[in-house]
Amino acid sequence: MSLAFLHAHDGAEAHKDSVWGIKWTAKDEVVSISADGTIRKWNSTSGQVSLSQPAHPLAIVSVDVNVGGDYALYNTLEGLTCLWNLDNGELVGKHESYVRDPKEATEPAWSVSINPTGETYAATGGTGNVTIHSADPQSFGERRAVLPSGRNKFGMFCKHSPDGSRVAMSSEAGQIYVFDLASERLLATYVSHAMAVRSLAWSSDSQLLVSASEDKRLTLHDVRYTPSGKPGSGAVATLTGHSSWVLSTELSPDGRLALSGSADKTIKVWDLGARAAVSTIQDTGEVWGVSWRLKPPQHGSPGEFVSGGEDGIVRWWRGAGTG
Amino acid sequence: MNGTRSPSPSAGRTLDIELSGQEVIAVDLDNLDANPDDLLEVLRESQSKVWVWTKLATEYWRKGNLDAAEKLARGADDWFQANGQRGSLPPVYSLLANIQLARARKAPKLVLQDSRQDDMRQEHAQAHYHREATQYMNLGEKAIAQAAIEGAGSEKDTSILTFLTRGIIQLSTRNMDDALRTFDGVLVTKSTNLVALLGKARILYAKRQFPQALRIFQDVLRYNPNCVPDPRIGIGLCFWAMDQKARAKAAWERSVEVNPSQWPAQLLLGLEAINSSKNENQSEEERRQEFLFGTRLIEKAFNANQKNSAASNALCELFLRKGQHKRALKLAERTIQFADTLTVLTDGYIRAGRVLQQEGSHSEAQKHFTVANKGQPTNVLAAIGLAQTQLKNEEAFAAIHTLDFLLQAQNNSGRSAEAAAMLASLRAHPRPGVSNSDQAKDKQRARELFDQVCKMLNLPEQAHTILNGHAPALTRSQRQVAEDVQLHAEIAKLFYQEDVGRVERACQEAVRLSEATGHPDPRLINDLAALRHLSGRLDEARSMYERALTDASSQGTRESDSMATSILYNLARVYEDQGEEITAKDAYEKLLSRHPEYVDAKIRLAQMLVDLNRHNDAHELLKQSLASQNSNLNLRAFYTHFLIQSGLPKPAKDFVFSTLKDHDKHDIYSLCAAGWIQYHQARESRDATPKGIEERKQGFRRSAEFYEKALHLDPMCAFAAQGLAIVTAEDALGTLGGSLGPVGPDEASKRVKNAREALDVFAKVRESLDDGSVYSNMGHCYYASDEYDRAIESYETASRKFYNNHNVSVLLCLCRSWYAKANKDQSFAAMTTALRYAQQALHLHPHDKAITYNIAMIEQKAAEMLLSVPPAKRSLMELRRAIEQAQHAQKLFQSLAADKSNQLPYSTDIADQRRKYGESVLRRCDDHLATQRLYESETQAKLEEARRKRQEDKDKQDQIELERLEKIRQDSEKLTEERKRAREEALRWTLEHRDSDDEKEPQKKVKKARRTRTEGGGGLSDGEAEPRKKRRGKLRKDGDGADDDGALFSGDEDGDSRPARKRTKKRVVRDDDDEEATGAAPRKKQIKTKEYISDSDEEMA
Repeated sequence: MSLAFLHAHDGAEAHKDSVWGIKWTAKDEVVSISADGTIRKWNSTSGQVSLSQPAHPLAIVSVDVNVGGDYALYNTLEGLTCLWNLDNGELVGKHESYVRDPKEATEPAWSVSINPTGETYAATGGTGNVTIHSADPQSFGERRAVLPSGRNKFGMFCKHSPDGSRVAMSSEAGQIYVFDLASERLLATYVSHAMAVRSLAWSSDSQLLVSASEDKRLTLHDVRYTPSGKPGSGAVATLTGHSSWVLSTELSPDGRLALSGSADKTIKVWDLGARAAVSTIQDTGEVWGVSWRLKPPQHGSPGEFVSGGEDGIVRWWRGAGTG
Repeated sequence: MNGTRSPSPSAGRTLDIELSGQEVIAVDLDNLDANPDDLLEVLRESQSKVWVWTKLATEYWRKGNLDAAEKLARGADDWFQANGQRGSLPPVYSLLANIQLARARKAPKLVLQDSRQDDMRQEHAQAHYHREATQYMNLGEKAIAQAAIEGAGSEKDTSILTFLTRGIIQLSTRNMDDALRTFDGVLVTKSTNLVALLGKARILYAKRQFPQALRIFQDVLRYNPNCVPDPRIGIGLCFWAMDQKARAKAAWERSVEVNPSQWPAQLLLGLEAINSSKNENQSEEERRQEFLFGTRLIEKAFNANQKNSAASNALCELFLRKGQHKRALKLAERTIQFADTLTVLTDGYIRAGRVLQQEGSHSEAQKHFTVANKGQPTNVLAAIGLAQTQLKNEEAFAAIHTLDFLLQAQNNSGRSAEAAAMLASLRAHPRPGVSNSDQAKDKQRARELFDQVCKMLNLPEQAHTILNGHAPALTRSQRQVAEDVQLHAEIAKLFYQEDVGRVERACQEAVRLSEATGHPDPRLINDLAALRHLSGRLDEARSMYERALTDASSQGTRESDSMATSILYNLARVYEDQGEEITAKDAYEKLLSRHPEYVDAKIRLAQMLVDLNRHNDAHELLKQSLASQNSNLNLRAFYTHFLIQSGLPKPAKDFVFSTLKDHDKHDIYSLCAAGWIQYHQARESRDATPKGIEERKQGFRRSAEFYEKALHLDPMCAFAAQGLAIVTAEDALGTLGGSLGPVGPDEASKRVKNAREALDVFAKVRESLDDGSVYSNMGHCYYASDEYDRAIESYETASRKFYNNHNVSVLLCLCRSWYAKANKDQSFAAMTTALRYAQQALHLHPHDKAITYNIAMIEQKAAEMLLSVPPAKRSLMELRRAIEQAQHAQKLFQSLAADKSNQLPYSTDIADQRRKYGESVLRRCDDHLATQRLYESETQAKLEEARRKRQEDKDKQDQIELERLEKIRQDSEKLTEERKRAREEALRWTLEHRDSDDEKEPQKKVKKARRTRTEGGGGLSDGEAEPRKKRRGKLRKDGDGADDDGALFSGDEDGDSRPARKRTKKRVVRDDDDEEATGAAPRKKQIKTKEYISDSDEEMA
């Protein structure tokens, strides 16, 4: 089987440097972050910038958008975590995670993820733990909990499960940790990779987790767990085909397709049933971010997505057969 | 020309002999008694005259009864001597001499003592009869002298007879010149003497004077059309030699018609037919017919005269082909024994050799070939046959010598491709007892020979193929050489590592030929696939491997199984290279299930695990492999590599030393690895105690020794050369830039000198080792010499071309170089680039706090730098951005200083100092902002002023111009009025002339302005061209001063020279502009030199 994805259009103006993260929001808008220190909101139809923040002195490295698509949570290279109102462009929360507590060893945040409830966000970074912080504008950034992984390998990426019950974190050494938020307990550790995992994605039913690693592979994990806390079967499939690091991944809203961006300058779409690549798109540079459109596609279409990478251009793609 | 002396038959066929008693006996010449004794008695009694004796003897001869003829002649000799009539004897002696010559013709020229089939040992050799003939000849001459005294006999006839006899003897004993003189002597007295003419013609033919010989043969034919031997044969031979084959054939055909019983013409026609049967332009059927016809004729000729070497030679070839070895050998031996020319003799030996060779009697065959080779050193068949038998007897050296000798004896154009191919193959083949260097030389000579063969045979391996395709047609044997699969396989093997293109062509040709047989050799396909694989044509390689694998597996022999194993391994490598790791892994595992000891497959499995960062699993596999093949150097090399990659330098060192000590102390890989490990250890050691420093020095020395040893063993070893260059560049045998001892006063110049030397080496290494490490090393050297632009160029090549910008240390080198460049050039743009590279590096390695520190440092430095430069070199926008960054840097330094983690890659104290220093920098910011604002508004005002002034000037100019034009117009009008027709022409001319002048002026101005604008680069958005130019000139000077106050990192020594040089560069550009303004159009192109472009790039970046 193979699917065809067509290049729909480009963002009207390119970022001055690489795009390092991208999200398609529930409001059908797109948020991109870049090494040039800016975050932008785009109109998906016109490709015009509808909102932007003045450039931060350093790059922005992590972004997440809340369920409703009203807020973007992002984090900069040195660890400035911000909550940005996507409707009015106001910066509602700002937390300097690099400011060190004299009493306790803390490290700046690297990757951040907002809880589907919108009340807290999770962060990971130098400590190798996941920390839970307040997302409330009043107390933004205040630390609520620490979820220790037990290892001090740098946390490269963290992501909440869509049902809000868990958060998954991946490290520079390739381990993947899944924590239960209610009990603040480590549910499972997966050693599917031995090289850095730069991106994780949950299925919308919170039962599958896919990881993208520098070992050129994507691994699909069954992360269901019994009420007693016994973890699911773990790694169930390995998707190989990229010829360099896999940098970004996301699962389609219907859970049938996986999307991946790689340092081999391609984007691949994978069929999870067949566990094989069904489409390969050549890009010009490293693809640091990929994101599916959340709105269900027309019948017969595999959907739409957006990508961003080394050349700083935001690109929209649509499955052949749609409008 | 045989049977020369037979006189023409007399008319009457009876001879009356008068006995003393008046009795007459009539001898019936047609029915002579086989036994001449009675006749002899009669002759004696009758006291017959000498002519009766000779007449009767001749009659016997004509009947073929040489013995009887001789007996009669001898009887005559006895009788006349006894009766004291020596004067009558000369004709008898002539007769006897001729009888001996006739015998000589049937006698072997040479008697083989060890002949197997054609025993001639009972026979007298030709030379014997020649001697006898000469003796009789001499006796005859004496008799003539006697006769002169006695006054008997008819002198004239006798002397001609004697002369002719002598001439024939001389001719048979190959005294050509004497014979010619003798025959000429006869011809002086009797110019139509046929015997003398024929003799002379033969001599001329032998002397290759074909037209002259032809004329004489034709004369003979004219004098006597029925002459025997038939002059038509000679005529034919002359025509043949003059390449008039059709006329030659016609002459012979006529000869057969006239003399059906004579064999020479038949033999010649037979040879001609067989020759033309080899012509491939005719149909198969025609060729067969001709061949059969030729064979029949030759057989007939041979039956007519079994002692003719040419016929037996030709017939021998036929039997040889039919495989009738006995008969062939007999004929060959006959050829040898009766050969009267060297060519035929050689042929005989070669054929005998070939028969024996086919029978398997190689040493006997060798004897024959040796003789043939000695006789005719340029004969290809003889030399090849000899070489072949020598090879059979395992005398490879002798065989090489034989062929070498042959090729040297042949001139360049006529060299035998067959022999050259054979010699090349022999030279390429390793022989016991040959030193490595000799073998390398031999291989080189083999390559040269194959080169020649390729050219001679127009093989696809040729370096330069003939494009128009007019290759000379090949002979059958040449074609066989050209279509020899093994030859191409050998060429491929021999040129491996020399000329990959040729190897590939050879391989392809071998595969093509092998496929033509219907059973292609899987090994050849595998080889070709491997070449495709190496040149990156993976798909092709894959399908070929798959085909080879199917072919090999279907054969089911032991050999094919080992083939299949290798091919499967290669196939797995392609899978791996195509990124199909799972398929590759399956293939390796399949291989290992069949051959658990196949360590190469295990190594690849280990490498695949290493790629996934699964070092422990890989280690396990490698340990298994080492347990089974501990002394496999490839495996040991890989294990060394693995240990180094896994960050285990200590075990790596032990392991590599054990390789060198216990396995191969000349293993180049291990030597390089040992060099690297030693160097690494010495370099990374932080031990600053005197003992520690001594140890480090020792380590560096040993490292250099290892590299030197590797280079000694393999002068082309790029890795060792690179290692040594690094030793030089870092002054590791000196002070290592001060960490191994006090720095001398000339440290800076020493550093530059070392870097230069190392750069020379790296540039050479780069030719053979196209690797990112070479480029980054070159970058280091340029950086050390303060040539930041070139450093950046090298690093960028390394990063982009080889590491896809994924190598953090190279990214950091780029960051450092841009940082140094920014400080030196006082460029905010360069500083921004440095910051970008630092962020890129941190994005890849977010755990590396040293990069965070560098980011803070760069942010702070940008502001510090901009505060130190005059307002003209910065902009308000830049200044604001830099101050914002410096403020941000404060937060970072604070965070860095407060970090309580262990083992930080920076000092928290210095971070804190930096923060404090940053405060002082920031305090000055407001002033600078104010200054800048003021400056820029002033500049703006000046600009406005200038623009206004220029506008005014321009207006004024325009005004003047208008007035001038008006004046011209008025003038011309006036002129028009004053003069009419003739004046109109003059007017037009004037107008045109003026117009063109006027147009040129403004055009030039436009050009100049445009040029300066480009030169200014894109630093600022849309400033005016003119003022910028002025400003930049001033700035350069200030820049030098600023450089001297010592920016933190940049080198000061070079600081002066470089901007100075740059200034001159700029000036050159400007000079060009000026010249252009004066109207030198062609110079325009030259301005686009690289220097210019890269200079402007700096500004823009």
